[in-house]
Amino acid sequence: MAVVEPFAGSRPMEANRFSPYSDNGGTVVAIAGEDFSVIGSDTRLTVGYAINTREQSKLFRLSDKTVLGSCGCWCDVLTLTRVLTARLQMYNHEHQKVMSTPAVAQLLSTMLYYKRFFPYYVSNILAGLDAEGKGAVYHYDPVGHYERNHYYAGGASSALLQPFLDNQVGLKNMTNATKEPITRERAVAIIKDAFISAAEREIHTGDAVMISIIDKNGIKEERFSLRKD
Amino acid sequence: MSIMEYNGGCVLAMRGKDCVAIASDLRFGVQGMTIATNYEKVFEIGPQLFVGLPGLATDTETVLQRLKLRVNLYELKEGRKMQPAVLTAMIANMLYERRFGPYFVEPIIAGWDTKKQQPFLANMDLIGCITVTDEFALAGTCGEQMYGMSEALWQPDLEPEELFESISQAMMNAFDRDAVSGMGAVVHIIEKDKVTTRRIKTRMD
Amino acid sequence: MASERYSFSLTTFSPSGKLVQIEYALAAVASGAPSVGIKAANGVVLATENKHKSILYEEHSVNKVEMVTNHIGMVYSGMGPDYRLLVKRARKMAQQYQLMYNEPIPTAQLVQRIAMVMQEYTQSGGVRPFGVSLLIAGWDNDRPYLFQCDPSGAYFAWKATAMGKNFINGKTFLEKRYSEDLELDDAVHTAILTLKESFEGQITADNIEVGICDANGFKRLDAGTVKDYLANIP
Repeated sequence: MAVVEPFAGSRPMEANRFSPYSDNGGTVVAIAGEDFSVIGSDTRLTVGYAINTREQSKLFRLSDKTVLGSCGCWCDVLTLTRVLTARLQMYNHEHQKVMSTPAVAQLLSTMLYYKRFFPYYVSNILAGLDAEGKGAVYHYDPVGHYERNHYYAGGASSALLQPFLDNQVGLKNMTNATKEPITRERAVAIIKDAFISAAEREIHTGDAVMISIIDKNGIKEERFSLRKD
Repeated sequence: MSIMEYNGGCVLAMRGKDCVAIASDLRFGVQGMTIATNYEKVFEIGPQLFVGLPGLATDTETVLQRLKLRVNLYELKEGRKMQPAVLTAMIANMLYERRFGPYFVEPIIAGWDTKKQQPFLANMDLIGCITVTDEFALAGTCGEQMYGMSEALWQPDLEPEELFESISQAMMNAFDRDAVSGMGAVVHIIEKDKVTTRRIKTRMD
Repeated sequence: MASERYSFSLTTFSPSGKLVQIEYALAAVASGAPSVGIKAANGVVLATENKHKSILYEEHSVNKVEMVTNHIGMVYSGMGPDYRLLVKRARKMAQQYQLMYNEPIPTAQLVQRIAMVMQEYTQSGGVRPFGVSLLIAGWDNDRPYLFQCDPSGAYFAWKATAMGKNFINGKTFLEKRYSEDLELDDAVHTAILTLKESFEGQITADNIEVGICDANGFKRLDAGTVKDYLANIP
């Protein structure tokens, strides 16, 4: 008698394979000044063409002088930031002090590389003040490569905004511009302009920008509306 | 790698007040290897009519030659210069004839409409879907970068000099973030009774 | 059959250098119903006889004045069936131009292309020339155009002209009546008068056809409008 195998050979093995990653869009931009840092993110969360929420900031306040901007696969963002916060808490308890921004930067890199072969699908930008109180911005690839910069754009609109920052903050291709340290007001204005431009052309970016301004007095937050379509 | 990115390169055009500008980079490469740094992708079709053909270089040249053939025949047959809108329609037709085996170029047409006495700017995809715009049009390997730059730097009713500054800055900073575009640029500014062509030196890496 | 392989064009030069087939075609035109075209300052008018052999005929069912595209229309003298083929070709060429250039075809271009078709029929194998001359009226570049196109493929730009039966008298009449600053209304009047010159019997709105072309495009006048024009004619 023949054995009946209900689904054997009726569909290919490849079908319905679990896919662990999704891209939830979002953009983060950060600029470091002499004695401050500004970091902004949009508040839109998407899956493909669908908008899951218009009110989700991608900024995570890690301490009074460090803010992490994180976007990409949102579930990875949540897990990464939860573990990172726990590690900072443990450091706090063990050393009886708040971790410095460069130390957070190194810790984040180590945590990302720890998952080298099943990475967090995340684009990270860390902004804050370093040990001397100078503005610091770090950016990461998904597996822990990192670099300190004066400014950086990450996430869905990074390709649109990075050349804009090169031009307006890095003063690239500006033959007659004098290199003066950027002011707080200008940094905030550039971030707003950048997001307005990105929201015009990039559908995974929009709704609003959350901006955190970090200086020696702490962190100030600001909200700015973008187009919602 | 996509065929559209095989040779690299980009074209950007912007409309201003009674003027329109069109620019291209100068790199010609084969994937990562740079072959030439004097390869323009914008061509003069009439005294005040330019077409940019970024994409696969062999198709850039073939399309240009076939275009010249058709434009010459038109101008002889009709005894008049071709208007930008007519050129646009003609290119679109030409590309759509190859709907299922396309030329890998995304044309941008910039010119002065001598009938309406106003600037004209349009672009299309590689099978001839036309978009006529009053703002800016672009195509090439650093499209995203150019969109970001143009969206921030362009504004309505720029004077020719301001337009030149905007298009140059947009183009340069965009292709500096693209490995297969750049190596200098050329900009044409088309006005009512004048065309100015300028070459821009940029970083060569 | 071997003889079929050598069935050349009927239009072969006679020893004296004439193409008699074309001359016969012109004869067919000259014996056809008269038609008139006049260019005015603000438009063009085409007019023709459309006489019926029997009172049983349903009037206004078959037209001689036809629109080719919004701003171009035409009329003929000669053979009706040949004309209808040319109208079909002209309409198609006008649409092809529009498709290619996204712009209405200039009248001069359409005329050139129709003339090309007519010429082809004087040199191809297995065909005969068209037995018609065309009057083509158009409006573009903010000015009126009037062309005549003959079976040979020759074409002429006129200020005013007549074709078909009695065309010599018609042209003489027009030469006397024509002036450069004619208004379209006056031109319609003059066109009807020209037809009347050689008209046998009573001219009515049912046995002539009139078409006008101006900045608003080409249109065939309805019987009522023609009747109004006829009312002003003694």
